[in-house]
Amino acid sequence: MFARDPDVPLRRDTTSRFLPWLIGLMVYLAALLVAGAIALDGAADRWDRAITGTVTVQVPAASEAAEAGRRVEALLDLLRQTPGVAAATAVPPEGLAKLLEPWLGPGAASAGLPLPGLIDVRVEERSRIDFAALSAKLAEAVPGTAVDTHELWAGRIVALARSLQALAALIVGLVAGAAVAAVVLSARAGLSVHREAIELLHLIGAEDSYIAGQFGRQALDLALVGGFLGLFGALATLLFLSWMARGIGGSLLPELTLTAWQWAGLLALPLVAGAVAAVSAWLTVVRTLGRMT
Amino acid sequence: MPRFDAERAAEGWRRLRVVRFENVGMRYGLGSEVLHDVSFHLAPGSFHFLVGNSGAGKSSLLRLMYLGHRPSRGLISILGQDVTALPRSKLPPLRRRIGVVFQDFRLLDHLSVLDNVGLPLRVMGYPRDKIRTHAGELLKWVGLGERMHAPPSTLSGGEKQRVAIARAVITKPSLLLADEPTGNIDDRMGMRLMRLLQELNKMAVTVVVATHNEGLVARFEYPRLRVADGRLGPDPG
Repeated sequence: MFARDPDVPLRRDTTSRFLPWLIGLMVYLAALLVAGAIALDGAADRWDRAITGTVTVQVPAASEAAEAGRRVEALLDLLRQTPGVAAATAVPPEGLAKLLEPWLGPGAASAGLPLPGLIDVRVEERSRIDFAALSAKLAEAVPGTAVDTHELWAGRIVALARSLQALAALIVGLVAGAAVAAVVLSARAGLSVHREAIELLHLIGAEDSYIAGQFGRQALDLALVGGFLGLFGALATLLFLSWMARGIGGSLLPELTLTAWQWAGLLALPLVAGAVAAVSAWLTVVRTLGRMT
Repeated sequence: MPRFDAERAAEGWRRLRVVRFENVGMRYGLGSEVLHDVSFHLAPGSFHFLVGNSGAGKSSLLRLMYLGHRPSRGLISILGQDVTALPRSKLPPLRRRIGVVFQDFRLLDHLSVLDNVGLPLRVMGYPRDKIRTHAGELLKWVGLGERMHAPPSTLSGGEKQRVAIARAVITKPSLLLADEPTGNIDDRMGMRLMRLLQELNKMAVTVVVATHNEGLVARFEYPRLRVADGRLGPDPG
């Protein structure tokens, strides 16, 4: 930052007063989008692992508990003998009750309703199980048994998450482009407003790069001020959203847990905005002055 | 015995010309010519008045000399360099050897008097303490040691003119050009400024003073370049 006024009186320039607010807004949007993309990335990975990692086997309900237990045991035996199955565990009745609680209320399991049995199957990594064949084999042993690989719903959610990430990247790109355009317009306006001071600097021997440096440093100052304001605003918004999400407590909502590198990337946004603004202003001035005779 | 080399001698003589104009014409944009067939030269350490009525072309001629404009035709050599087709990137080092006192001073109001005077050194990348020392000394020399931290807007016309002179000479230029330096001040102050320019001329600086103040010119014995209707008349000096 300048210890004293630059030679070109850019600090009094009304044409660049909007720049910190504009850059601030852009960094705010970019920070939210980047944070959202990071959260979605984590969630998509979790969902992705769910597709390939687990299968649920649904065992038809039996009128007697002993019969239900026999069916589950028979299927467990079959599953444990199947190559590629890492583990097969029957969901206990209390676990089943907990799953049904949001829909049927507490005590649903003890109400005497015929409930299907569930078996959680963990599949070995890189295994290529033929789920259609497995499903047929299990149905032969216990008619009415169904295998749910979650592939359909999880696949759609993962695809949605990836699309949202791509959209976020596109918007960040557009935001950066708009910021560069604003800096270029501001630098051009500054060149026009301060034509006389610039001519004086040229006549006393200033090179184009010296004059461009003044515009570049001014753009850096304004972008840093706006950028950090935007970042603080974005962090406040993210904290508020995290607090809101805790209140909802939904396991489907993506969690925003950032690694040190991701935090560093987020905190570097104002610095990146400053660097982009400074370079854009510098290049604009050098190119414009270079076209003079 | 060494032989006389006429070509080298002629080249040496040409190099001695601080300013050389040969059949120079000048126009602004696509307008008509404001200077026609101007030819003259200035020897190192000389002092010339550039005289003529307002609008005769004095400022345009000075503008060509301080590399503020390119000629539309002819040849201009400044400090031994042909500037007619000099690339833009080569102009700054040459401009640093030319001091200019503008008619309207061209001081930057947002900077202090000291910073205005130090501006040419700042542009050249001098360290701040050296700039302050040099600029302070020059301001004392022009009698403004007490006003160095004041903004230019608080100075009188004569004071501004002296600040402009201090700024023009801080790089120890070989050529000093002054456009109507006494135009905005009274006679007493005008004479004082002329003495300052004379002092600089004694330090081997080539000085050109453009003025339409014939009374002032008459008080000095220096040669005159007379401009009328965009043409340079005979040099009476």
